[in-house]
Amino acid sequence: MPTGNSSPTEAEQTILLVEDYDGIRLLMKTYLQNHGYRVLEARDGDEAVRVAGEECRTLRLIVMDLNLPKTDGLAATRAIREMAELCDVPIVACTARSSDAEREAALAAGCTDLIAKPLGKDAIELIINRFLLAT
Amino acid sequence: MARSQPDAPTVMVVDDTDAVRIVLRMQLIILGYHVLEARNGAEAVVLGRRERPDLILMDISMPVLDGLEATRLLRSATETGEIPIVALSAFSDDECRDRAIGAGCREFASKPIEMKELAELIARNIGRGGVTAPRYGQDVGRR
Repeated sequence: MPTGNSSPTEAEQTILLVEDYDGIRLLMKTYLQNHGYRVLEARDGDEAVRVAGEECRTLRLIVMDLNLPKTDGLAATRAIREMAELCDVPIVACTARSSDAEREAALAAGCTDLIAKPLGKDAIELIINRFLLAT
Repeated sequence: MARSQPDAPTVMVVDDTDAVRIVLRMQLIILGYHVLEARNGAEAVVLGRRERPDLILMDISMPVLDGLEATRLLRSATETGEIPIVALSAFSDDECRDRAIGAGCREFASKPIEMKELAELIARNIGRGGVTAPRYGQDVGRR
């Protein structure tokens, strides 16, 4: 699904990437920035809720690793979902352990969808098409 | 996982900046507390008297009625005089700290506040012996 050019409608859309591995975060960030998105980063659940709160007016999507240091992805998701200002922002959970139980737990916590790691180009394209271009 | 129990203590957040209240509210939810919000000192006095929270996190610089005056009013009223109040300010200088303590705040901390610091700050000020302290960081070793 190649998308070489970023359309003008993608401009200024802000995405929060929550991922503790620098390499994965940098890869996703670069890819999304090349598509014209504004990318914010958090390395653990504590940073995720801080950035989500401070940017609640601009956030369009949160990509959330579930297995995080400090506050984990599920606890951070539950807290974000209780905020009226953030309850409509899609949260795409990412995990290496994509069992049915993991999916159930993610959806119960308030995640919109769950995508299995490793996250390659196709997965990122899928996220863009499903959650950013569709809205 | 820390979800607020029916008997969990209530913390009132007083701040005029929406983003600050939202971040603190999420932090407190994760720590397992019930949360009340007030947007200025006047709301804090009214809500504090009505709901009598277990602890108040008070911004200092606010419109309508500032945090120092709100703290004095809450501390001087019989219904709210025993509620511990902790100042949370964007300023961190000694003068601001002294004024907050002078107004009746138990402690003074600077914003933004990290989760661990917030958890410890509340635990040592909330003064409800029977209440379980927040279990922040318990999942850290899970990875």
